[in-house]
Amino acid sequence: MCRHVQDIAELHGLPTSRVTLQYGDGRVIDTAHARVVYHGVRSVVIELPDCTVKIAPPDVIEAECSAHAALDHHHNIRKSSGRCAVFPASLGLGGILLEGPGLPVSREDVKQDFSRLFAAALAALTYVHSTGHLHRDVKLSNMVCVRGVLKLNDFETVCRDPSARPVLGTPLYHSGVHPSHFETADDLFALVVSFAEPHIMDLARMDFDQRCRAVVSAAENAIRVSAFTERVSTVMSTIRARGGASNIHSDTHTSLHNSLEFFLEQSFNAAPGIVERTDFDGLTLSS
Amino acid sequence: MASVEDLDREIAQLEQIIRDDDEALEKESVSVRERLLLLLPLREKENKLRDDRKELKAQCRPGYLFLPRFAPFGSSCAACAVCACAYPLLFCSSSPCSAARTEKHRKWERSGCARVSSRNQGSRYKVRFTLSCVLFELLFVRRFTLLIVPELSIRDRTARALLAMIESPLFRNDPGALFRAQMELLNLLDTRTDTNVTDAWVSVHISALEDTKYWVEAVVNRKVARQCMTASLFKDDLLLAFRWLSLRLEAPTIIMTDVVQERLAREKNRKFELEIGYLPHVLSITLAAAAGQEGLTYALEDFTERKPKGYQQHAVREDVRCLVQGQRLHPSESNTRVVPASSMLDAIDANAEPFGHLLKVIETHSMQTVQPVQMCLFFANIWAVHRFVATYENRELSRIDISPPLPFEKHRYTPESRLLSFQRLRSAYTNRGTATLLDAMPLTHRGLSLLQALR
Repeated sequence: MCRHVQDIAELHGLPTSRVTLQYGDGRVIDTAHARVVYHGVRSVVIELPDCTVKIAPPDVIEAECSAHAALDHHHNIRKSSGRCAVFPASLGLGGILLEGPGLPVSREDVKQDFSRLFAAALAALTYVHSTGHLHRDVKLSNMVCVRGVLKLNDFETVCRDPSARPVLGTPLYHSGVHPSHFETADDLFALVVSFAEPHIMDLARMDFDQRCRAVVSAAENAIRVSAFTERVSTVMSTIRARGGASNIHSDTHTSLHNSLEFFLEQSFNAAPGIVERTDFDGLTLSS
Repeated sequence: MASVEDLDREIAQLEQIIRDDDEALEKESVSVRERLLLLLPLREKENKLRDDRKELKAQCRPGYLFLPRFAPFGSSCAACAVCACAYPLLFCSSSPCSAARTEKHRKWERSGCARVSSRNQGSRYKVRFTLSCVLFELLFVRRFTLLIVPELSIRDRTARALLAMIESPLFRNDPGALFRAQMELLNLLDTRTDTNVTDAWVSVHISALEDTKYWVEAVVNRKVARQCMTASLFKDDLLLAFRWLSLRLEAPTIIMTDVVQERLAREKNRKFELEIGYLPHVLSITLAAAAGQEGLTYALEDFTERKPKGYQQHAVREDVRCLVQGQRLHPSESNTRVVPASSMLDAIDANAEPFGHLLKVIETHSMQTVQPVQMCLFFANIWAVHRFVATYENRELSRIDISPPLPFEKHRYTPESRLLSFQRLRSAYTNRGTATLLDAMPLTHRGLSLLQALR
């Protein structure tokens, strides 16, 4: 149909529509070698030779720019170098320039290098929480590797105001603990599910109980496979000893939270210097 | 009926026999002379028909077709053309017509002489038809209570009766009778057509013709070149991606629960579904495809538009209007289905209804005079789309191209023509009880680029 529109425009001598991107200072960005690398529900990501541009509605770009202004100080956070304007303006879109090019973190990457990637993602998320923000859409597809370093990405759902924290993001990664209110624990749950997901078949088809059991089991297996540390293996044994696999169904929430608490606690210990203290329910973290 | 050339050939042979072969003339004189006596008037009539056609072609106004007066437009009008009886013209596809067919009618039909007409037959036809209309008025319009108003002329009364007949629910399922009535009403009311009417030919505004019949008249009978073509590429990836994004952004607000329910009901109870519910969604897609293009926009059918003078019915509005610099061109049409066929050419003709409608829209609005190439869109609801390009030379339709190819043989749809997925929409409806346009959209923008080959 776009071809159809173009043909009609040529037939009637209408000006042919061309996409133009401009830096904040008005300089035109060369899009001759631009390549669309990702189609999201509300965004499109374009890769250029020297950077990456995310195109989305203006409100999304606005939210993301605000988040980057507060968070762009950690090496596991993908940095932004400002906005860009999108023409024709009638498309009603805006853009943000991001550090790049970035390679998406795949499930295979997680299987092969679980410990390093998980530690980096956890460090980034901990930093986000330490500034008083919530990410609310943690998942593998929102993480990229830029020059070999994992970076947390996609801050359009980030919020700071504790009084206005509706649940956003991808339902598959929601903990379901608070149906209408998002907490730091939910971010951490999403992180664990994201890294456990490559080891779980048909996660989307499971109900909540099944998903919790699968996550605990997969996290345990992933850590064992990646030979994380002996200490973490001990923790996972503890999880198992506390009935993670066999008794979790009787009181899913409590068991899962307990399991995740230990899991995360030991993960923090495995990456010293990131956090000092963790409290899963209240979760006050500091760098 | 034999053509003029065939008649000429046979007459020449007979004359040759008479001239050269005296013996044969002696033996076969009676039969040869009888045959000649039969053929010569026929040739004269055929010549007159041909001359009339040439003359009328020169006179015919834009937007009008001239057709043989007694050609079998309706389902069973051929029998009526033989004796020009008026009764079957009114009720031609109902049972009385079939019952009234005599062996003589069938014989004439078999011999292919259904188009024969004469001045006398025309006059008889007119008288009987008028009387039938008056009878109809008495029976159905005035409901046995009123007599004919004496001051009205028979022409006025006939027109009123015809109008009542067209609007009457009694004839809603009888397209042949309706068409005849519309044609006669046109002859009565529109004096412009009088100059185009003879005993043998009648000019008809194309809005009076059914879409399918118009396609047959304007394309099939005139042997207009038509073909299916593969889709051409659209190369601007960024623009394509951005337009697809703009549609995705709007899609969650477009509720399609009714459409799914309609479709599911169709699968259970009905053969076809209504297309009206789809048209706003078609508009959303066309608007997204044209996002950012200056001077080009789309709009829904304008139901408030008044019927132009001289139109027979208001069947010449497109489903989605394309406005180029505010000017209405390149119409889009939606239908509930694409009819597959055994070959590509058959597939085009099998979809004569939407394509005939597109041609009617183009030609009644004189779009071909504004732009000799009309690039129309044809949607099978919102699940598939094809481009229909009509090319005119000297205001005569010369070529029709359709891309991507229509379904034929066992191929349901070509991948390029697929726009949205009903399966995805249905699964969303099954899971949640509601569905939006976003549910029907594939993740990639292949749908919007559909005139682009698969990458």
